[in-house]
Amino acid sequence: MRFALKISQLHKQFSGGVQALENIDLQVEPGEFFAILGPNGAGKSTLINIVAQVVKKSSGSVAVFDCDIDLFPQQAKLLLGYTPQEIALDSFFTSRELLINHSGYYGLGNNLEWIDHLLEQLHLTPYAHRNSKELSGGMKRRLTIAKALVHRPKLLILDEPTAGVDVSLRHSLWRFIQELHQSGTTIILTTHYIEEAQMLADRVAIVQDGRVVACDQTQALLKSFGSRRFEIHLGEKIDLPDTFGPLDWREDRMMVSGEYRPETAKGLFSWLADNAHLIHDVRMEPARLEDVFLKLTDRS
Amino acid sequence: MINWYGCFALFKRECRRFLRVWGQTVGAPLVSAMLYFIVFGGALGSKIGMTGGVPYTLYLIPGLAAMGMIQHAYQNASSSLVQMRYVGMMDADLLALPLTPLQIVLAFMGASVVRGLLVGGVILTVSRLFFDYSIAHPLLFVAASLVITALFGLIGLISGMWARSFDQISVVSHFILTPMVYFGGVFFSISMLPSGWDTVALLNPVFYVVDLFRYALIDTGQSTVHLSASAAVGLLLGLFFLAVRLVDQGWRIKN
Repeated sequence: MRFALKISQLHKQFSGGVQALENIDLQVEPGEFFAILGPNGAGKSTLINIVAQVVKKSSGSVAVFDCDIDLFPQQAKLLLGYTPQEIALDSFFTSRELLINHSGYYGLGNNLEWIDHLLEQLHLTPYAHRNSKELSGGMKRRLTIAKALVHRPKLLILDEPTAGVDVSLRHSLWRFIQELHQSGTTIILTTHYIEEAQMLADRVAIVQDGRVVACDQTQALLKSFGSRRFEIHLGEKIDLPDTFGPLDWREDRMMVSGEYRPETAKGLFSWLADNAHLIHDVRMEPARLEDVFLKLTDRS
Repeated sequence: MINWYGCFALFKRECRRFLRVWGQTVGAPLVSAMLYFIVFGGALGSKIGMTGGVPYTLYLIPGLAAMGMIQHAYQNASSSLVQMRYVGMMDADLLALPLTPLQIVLAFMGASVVRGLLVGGVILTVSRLFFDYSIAHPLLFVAASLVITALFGLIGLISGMWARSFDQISVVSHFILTPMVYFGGVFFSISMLPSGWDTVALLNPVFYVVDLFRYALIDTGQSTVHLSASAAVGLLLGLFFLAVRLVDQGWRIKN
């Protein structure tokens, strides 16, 4: 099968001896929306930086749409768009000029229509002729994404694309990224916003200490490792029986939450019925990727 | 597929970058050259007398032009790379680009050549205000200009890859390049140096390129043209292959 990205037996050891990645095997299918989650320093950025060929691998193989990065490095680069985590823009040029330059690097001399489309889609048209150093953090982030898309890559790698972007812009970026995905672009995303991965990704890999600790369909991960939670808002301070499992009390002890377990459901509902006059609100929350992440990375 | 348009785009970006700050890249060498001509050529020239068989002011012209070309070709590549590193552009704007190491070297070297030639052209044009002369060997002059600017563009490229900061770039510039230029026969004939230093000067590659350039421009030189040309071209080829190899390895630019 032809994979959008195929990583086999990938190892990375930095010159100081730090083992950043160990025995990574990953396959991303064409058209897939794939998220990579992991705590800080887990190796997510190292992994995608190797795919983008800005970091050297120690061993293993990486292929983008069957183009091995060792055998066909330029062809592999042409197939992918890459936004690094750190925003860095050429301060000598305006936003539009910067995209024209970047377009040229990919062999595209006449690409103004697409460049203007990207500027519009990313709400940058009013700032097209403004020097990149005059842009706000959010605008710079969007311009970085436009740069990665300027050659219409088949595989788009986004390293923390919504970091530092305000809520409304984050939502418009999500819409834009979803549209790109629907138009057939394969997307790989690393993010600290776990709800972002849960909402956007078809499949998720969780990386910890340079290893993939889980990789599956988002829903399958939620089913296997996630659990529903209950949340009880109380009218006065009372205790709950300890048979409901570990409980998280809010500081004022007026709200308590815990993992919803089928085996304790009967007791829980019975207690709720008996104490209904003391309860303001009861909420049941669906399984969250955040809980899966915390469970698998042992950070709960 | 070989992406030559991409190589041209990177070259164009490097040229436009220095043209955006033309006051620094063209204006500053113009003012410096005029000051040198006024002080050394006008005030001191008559006291120094004939040098290398020609009046001192005329002797000074190719030296100053070559110095401007050397310094600016060097600065173009080196400062661009250090700035890329400083801003954090190295990854997305260089290493991730679909260009071969050869294309990256050609783009940076080419832009350095353009900036060096521009500066050399400005200095030579201004020098005509002070001394009337014509180019003695036009074809050799063009070739020597290209070799000098390409050579120091490559040195700038390699220095830019090595340097982790602007400070390190200025260390190379002030402690290596400037002494080489000053002892390379820019302002005087090396025969005017104290005994022993003239022999040391012969080990300086800048001497050969300045000597070649002077011969091509005003038909006077201390070394034989063949020796100077061979040394300059040999060095250029050696550095070119070294630069391509270093970019290919990602030397000091790729983790």
